[in-house]
Amino acid sequence: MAYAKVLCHICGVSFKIGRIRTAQEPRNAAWAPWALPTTYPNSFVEHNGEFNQSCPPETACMYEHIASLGCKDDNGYSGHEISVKEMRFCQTAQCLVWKPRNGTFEPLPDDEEFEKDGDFFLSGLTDHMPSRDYGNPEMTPPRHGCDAADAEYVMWDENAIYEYAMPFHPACLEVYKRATLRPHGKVNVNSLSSFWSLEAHYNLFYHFPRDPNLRHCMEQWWCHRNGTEYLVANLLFMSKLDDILEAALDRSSDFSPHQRAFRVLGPGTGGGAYDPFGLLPVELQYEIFDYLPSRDIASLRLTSRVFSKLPVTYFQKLLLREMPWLREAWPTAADPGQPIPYSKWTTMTAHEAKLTWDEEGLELAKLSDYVEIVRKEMPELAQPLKGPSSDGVGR
Amino acid sequence: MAANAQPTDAQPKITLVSSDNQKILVDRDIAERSVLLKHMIQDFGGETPDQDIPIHNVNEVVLKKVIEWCEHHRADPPATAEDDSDNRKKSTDIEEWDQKFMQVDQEMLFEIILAANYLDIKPLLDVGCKTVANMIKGKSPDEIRKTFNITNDFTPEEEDQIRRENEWAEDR
Repeated sequence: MAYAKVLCHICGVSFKIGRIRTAQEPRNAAWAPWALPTTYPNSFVEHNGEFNQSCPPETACMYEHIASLGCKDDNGYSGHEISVKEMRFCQTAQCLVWKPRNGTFEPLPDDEEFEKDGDFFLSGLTDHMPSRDYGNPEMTPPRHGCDAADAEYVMWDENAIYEYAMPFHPACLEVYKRATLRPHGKVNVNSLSSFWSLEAHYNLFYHFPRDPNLRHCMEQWWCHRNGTEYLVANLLFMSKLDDILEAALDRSSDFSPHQRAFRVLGPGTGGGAYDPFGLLPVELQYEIFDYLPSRDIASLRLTSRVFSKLPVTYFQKLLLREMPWLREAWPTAADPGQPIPYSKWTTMTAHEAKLTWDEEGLELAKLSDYVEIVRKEMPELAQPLKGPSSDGVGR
Repeated sequence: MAANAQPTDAQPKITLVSSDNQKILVDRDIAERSVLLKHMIQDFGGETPDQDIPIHNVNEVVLKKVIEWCEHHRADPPATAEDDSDNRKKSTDIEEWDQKFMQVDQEMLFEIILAANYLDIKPLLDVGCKTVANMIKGKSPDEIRKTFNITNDFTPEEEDQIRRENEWAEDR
């Protein structure tokens, strides 16, 4: 079990995930679990046939382990099984942080709705979740003054619960938000923070019913087992799913969801072959289908041409019933609030967030300089001008 | 939920006439298990109608069977709106009495479903549909055909086509 590691409280997966590149991929497509994709040199290197994962780049490392097809190395996921793009942001963490207990919380322009009136605010991001014994992760940008968060899925000290922060992947929070939006019509983050407060206990966390494969991977270090790559795949930006959805789109002008989903069959050879289902009006046939899983529907389609006429609307209903998590299939008419845009935190690493933050800071500093110049050079204009810092612009 | 209420002479009665012109006398509350009949009775200004009510689409044998179900379920509470919600997995569990009630030949089973639909008796319709669904569940296409006596009139090419189209349901 992962004693030293901090895990995402929502999906239960570690933030320390490694990748072993294929021979065709560039160097930065490989990284060790504790390193960023951009800092390749800490990646897996094989020296004299043995792994030396801490081998610095400048030393004479001769070999790097390159994943072949069917690579079983569990120190990283194989590039043959999952792309860099699909693994994007798997090391990026964010936290829900308690607002100050003394009521001194000051809102930011980019606060989300739930931050305005809830008990928690969102921290910045980190791409490097340190082991517990190495201290707290630095959060970028330091939102609401929080530059390091005590990210924990276990509250070790019951007297200090307000010191802890709930760690998660920004994409996991986004999925959670949508899961609550559907039945309740609004994002309910309070339930999530309550879940964390109640379950932030070592045994409770491990016994919570998450993906059954987690227990095979949660070891002292993340065990990158073959077949568990999906656990680290980005939940929001799924290029393969996008391709599937794109292929399923019918853009023809005469498309109607009431059309038959599959190709129309001929009248048949039997000429009035007996079929009791033919006696039932279509809506009653659907009443019966509503009790059957897709496998039985597939079998039924092979029994009689009565069932070859199922319309697209029927399959949409089946899809929503069997894959309620497939947000892309949600009918927009029934969910007028959809789609809400993904939070900006799901689209960047902490590294990228820092660049934006620095850039904004730079722009702000430039603006201050201009104001200062105007103030000095044209004092007659200076009166109505206010420095960006004096009205709290930006931060 | 078996009914405890016993029919009494005090109950106002209604005469239904089946499609084959047979008169059947039923207690008003039993007839009102049918939403169609309930609305018809309301159209009489809430008074128990003294004239016969024709049920054009249901013959005597089926109508008597449907009334038997209504008698047993006369005291059931009305279904809640939540039970009807779409898009969620529905249980195919059927209570014991209803299971026995539905042990009829297939023609009768389909007739009951049609009658329940026509008379708008949702819980009976549900029991009928669940019964048919349970006869299909987990069976191969051949077994389903055998169960319902369906003649296979697909050409080999058509069967191939459907098998290809069915790939979405594999490994699930």
